[in-house]
Amino acid sequence: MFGKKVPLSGRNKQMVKIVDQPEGYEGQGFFATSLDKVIGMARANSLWPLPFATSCCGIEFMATMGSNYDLARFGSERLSFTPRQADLLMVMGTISKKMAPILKQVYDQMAEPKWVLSVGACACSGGIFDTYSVLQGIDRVIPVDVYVPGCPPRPEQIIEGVIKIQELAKNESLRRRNSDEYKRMLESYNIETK
Amino acid sequence: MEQDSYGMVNIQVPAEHLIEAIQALKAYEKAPVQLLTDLCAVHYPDKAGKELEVVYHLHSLTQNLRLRLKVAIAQDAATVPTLCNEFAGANWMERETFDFYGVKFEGHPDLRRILNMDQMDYHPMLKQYALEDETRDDKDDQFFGR
Amino acid sequence: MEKLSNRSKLVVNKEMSFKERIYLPAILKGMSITLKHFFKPAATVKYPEQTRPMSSIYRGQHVLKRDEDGKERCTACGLCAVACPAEAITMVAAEREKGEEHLYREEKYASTYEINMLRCIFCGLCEEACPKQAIFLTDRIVDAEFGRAEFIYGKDKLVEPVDERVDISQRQIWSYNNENA
Repeated sequence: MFGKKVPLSGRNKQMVKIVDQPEGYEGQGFFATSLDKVIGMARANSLWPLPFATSCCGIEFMATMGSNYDLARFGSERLSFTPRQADLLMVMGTISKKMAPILKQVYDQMAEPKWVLSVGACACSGGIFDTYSVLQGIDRVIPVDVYVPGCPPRPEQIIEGVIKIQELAKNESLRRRNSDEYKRMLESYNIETK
Repeated sequence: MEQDSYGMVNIQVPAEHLIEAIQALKAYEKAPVQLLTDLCAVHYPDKAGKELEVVYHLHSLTQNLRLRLKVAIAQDAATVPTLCNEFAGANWMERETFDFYGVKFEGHPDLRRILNMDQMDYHPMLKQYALEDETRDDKDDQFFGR
Repeated sequence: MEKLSNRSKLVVNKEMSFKERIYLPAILKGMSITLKHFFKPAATVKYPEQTRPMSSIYRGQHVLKRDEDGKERCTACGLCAVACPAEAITMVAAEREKGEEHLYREEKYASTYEINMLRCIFCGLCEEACPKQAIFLTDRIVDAEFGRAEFIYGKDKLVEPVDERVDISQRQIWSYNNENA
C-alpha cells in the first residue's frame, strides 16, 4: 500500500504519489514501527490550515487552494475556520498593531500541536509598511515555524512552505510540546502555558 | 471667504459658527446638502495659531454639488463642535480625526481611538512624530540615503 | 428625500412556478455540470514534481552580475538601497586594492551586500536604479525557510558564480540589452 505509484484509470494517466512507508519491521501480516513515526506521518499529511488572510497574499492562497495547485494533495483539503480544530495557522497579509492581540488570541485558541506559517513580506517582517501602525513581523507576538518570502509569493512558494511544515510535523518528537524548552519558548512570547 | 480650488468651492468657517453654517446649508432650498462625504484634518506646523485645519466635504445629492468647509484651529486648543446631531455618519469620522490628529469634538458621544491600537499615546499624523516604526530593527540608518 | 434619478427599480419577490419550486431540474442541471468535469482532464499541476512555465521576466531572487571577464559589476554606489521602498538593501563600500583588478571592475566595490529577502517586495526598482547593470531580478523563486537569519542574502548567494552565469538576456532592460548587443 505504501510507497507505490498507482496509475489512474481514464484519461488522467498521470501517476499518483503516495506517502512513503516509515522505517520498521515487516513480516507476514504485520508491520511494526515506532509510534511517533506513525503519528508524525498522520499529522504531516492531514494538516488543517486556518487561513488568517488579511490582504493580497490571501488571494494567492486562494489560488493555492484552487484546482490548479490544489493544496488538497498535501492533505490540507479542509480549511478550518475555527482555530480550535486547526493545526496550521497560515498568516497571510499585513498585520496591524491593533490586530496583533487578535492574532495572538487565535494562536492561543488553537489546540496543540500547532504550527505557524507566515506568508509574504508583510506577515514576515512588515515589508514596505515601516509605519507606526504595522506590526514589524508576526514573530513579535507568536512563534513562527516557517517563513515564506515574496510580495505576494507564488502558489509554488506557499506549497514549499507547507512542505516544510510537513517536514517539521513528521520529524517532531511526541514529547516536544510538553518539554520545558517549548514552554519557555511560549513564555518568551507571553503565551500562557497549561 | 470663498475660493475655488479643483472645481470645488472652499469655505472658511470659524469653529463657533460651524453648526450654524451646516444647518444653513442643510436648509438651503436650491441645493440642500444631504451628505457628509468626508471629514479629516490637516496639520500645518508653520501656521502659528492655525496649526490644525478640520476639513468637511459636503455633497448635495440632488444638485450634485460638492463643497469644502474648512475650520482652522490652534493646536493647543484643538476643539470643534461635533456634527453627530447633523450627520449620523460623522461619528466614526470624528473618532478617526481625533485618533490621528487629536482634534477634540465637543459633544461627541464616544470619542475614543478607532483605527490605532488603544495603547498608543500620541496622535501619529501630527508632523512632529515620525512616520516610521521605531520598533523596526532590521535596518541600519547609515546605509540609506534618507 | 426627493428622487435622485429615474433609474431606480422597485424590487418584488415574485412567486415561484411549480417547476422552480420542486428544485429538481435545477439540481439535475448542477449535477450534469459536475458530471461533465469527470471526463475533462485534470487542471492540477502536481507542483513539486511538475512545474509550470515561468515568465522570463518574472521578478524573483536577485543576482549580482559579473562582466564578461568575471569581474563584479557592482560599485556600491548605493542607488539601489535608496530606491528600495522596503529598505531591504544594505551595503558597505570598499576600495579596490592592488592585485584585485581581476575581481572588481572599478576602483570601488561592495565588500558586503545584503538583501533582506523578508523585507524585499520584488518590485524591481533596484534593477531600474542600477547605473552599472549590476543587479537584476531573475526567474528563480526564493525558498521558504525555518528561521529569519537565513533570509539575509549576502554576496555568497547573490553574486553569480563565474562558471555558472545566470541568464538575464530575456529581461526587459533596455540599457543592458543594448550594451551587450
